Amino acid sequence: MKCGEFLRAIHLCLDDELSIMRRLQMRRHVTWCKPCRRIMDSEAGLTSLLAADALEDSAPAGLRARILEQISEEGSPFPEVRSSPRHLTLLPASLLAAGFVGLLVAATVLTQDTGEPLPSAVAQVIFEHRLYGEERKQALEMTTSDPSRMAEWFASRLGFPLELPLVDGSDQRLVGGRVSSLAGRPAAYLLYEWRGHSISLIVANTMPPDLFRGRAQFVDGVALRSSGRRGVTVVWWAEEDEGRVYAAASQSTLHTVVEFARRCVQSPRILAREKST
Amino acid sequence: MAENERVQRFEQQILVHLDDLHRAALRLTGQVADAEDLVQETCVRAFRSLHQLRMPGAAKVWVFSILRSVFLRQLEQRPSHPGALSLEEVDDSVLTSSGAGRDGRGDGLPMDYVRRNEVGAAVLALPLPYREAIILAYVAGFSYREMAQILGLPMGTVMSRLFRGRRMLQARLRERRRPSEAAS
Repeated sequence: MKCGEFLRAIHLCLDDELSIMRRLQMRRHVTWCKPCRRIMDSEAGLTSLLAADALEDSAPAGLRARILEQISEEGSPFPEVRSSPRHLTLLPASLLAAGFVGLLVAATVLTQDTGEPLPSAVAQVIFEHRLYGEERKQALEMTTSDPSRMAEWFASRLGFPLELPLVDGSDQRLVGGRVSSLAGRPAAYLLYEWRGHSISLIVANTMPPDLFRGRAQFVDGVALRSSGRRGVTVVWWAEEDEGRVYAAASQSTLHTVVEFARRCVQSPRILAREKST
Repeated sequence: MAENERVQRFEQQILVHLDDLHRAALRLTGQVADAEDLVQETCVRAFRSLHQLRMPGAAKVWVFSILRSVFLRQLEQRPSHPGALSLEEVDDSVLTSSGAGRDGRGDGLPMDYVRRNEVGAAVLALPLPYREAIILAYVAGFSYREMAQILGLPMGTVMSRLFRGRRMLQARLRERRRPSEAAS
């Protein structure tokens, strides 16, 4: 290979557009041709700078959520159902028993479907509930009603120890779960059947700051916040001692989701920790 | 196609390229907010037209074609935008002042002097035809053939724009280096 031929092919070589044979020929050429090697080094330096620059500036976490929210609103197969206090008046009388009065009060003061912009993490929770809460058999990566098995399955997949709320009873069961994400960080997605409703629970070890603004209602010492959009209600809370965020979503009433959240807060935990090898 | 299936397909085939789309948009627009708007608009359009994507392997080329189309439309609405500089307006002295000829012979650019933010600024300062070629090749990682598809140009033209874009970048980076040389 002569210098002219080499110089004409420099960019093809750097842009990975040459066959292996041609690249080997070029490599052989620069081993003995110092001027060509100098030019090659200079061109490769620019390519390296451009490549390094290209690794910067990942998409902000909120962007993905905003896109998903917009497309779910555009293409949603669900009819628009505006949650309103009317739901509360439709509750069975039995639920208004003394044990639930506190919850009911909490539910009425929690904001819901106010028309204000949703925190991006909440929009993502709504999206994930619509996606996985409806297509559970295809979308769940692990199907089990055994919380211990579910916790064990997550142990090696999340990158953080997960404390799974032990929500059980005759009218409620775990359906399964999958690895998901919240605000760009790994999260556990769990699906429950709860009194005839599908409820999604997302557990993450991140604290998106926009989640924890505005009014909250304290239930058993934990601040619950809520929102809703197009018939999906989300209630979320943080357990700061363990650095976890929990978000429950369902197409049932706010009261139901708040009650589910309360059960999660009060329940014992199954600790899922990655086994050391 | 069921709606959820469509959304899943969108996630798997389009949203996996979100980082690359955002990086490219940022270097096209130069503004964080504009870049996010551009990517969002691109993704929404891709979602609406997802049924037109026949081959999943072509998804990245396809969505970048949409990104370019949306960006050019936005530029048309802002005719005074500096990025709209045409090929005719390119000052050829920029190419020749680098000391690098068409055959690639140059006086070399010591890249140790160049900071990464200078590279981004230099890319942004390129006239659009060269900027988009550089972005597609080095930010999004497309081959010449894929770039030709996205830009709707013959491969030879793509290679030429890439070459000239690189020359202009080297010239601009060298100009930025000169004041520090003078100071030292």
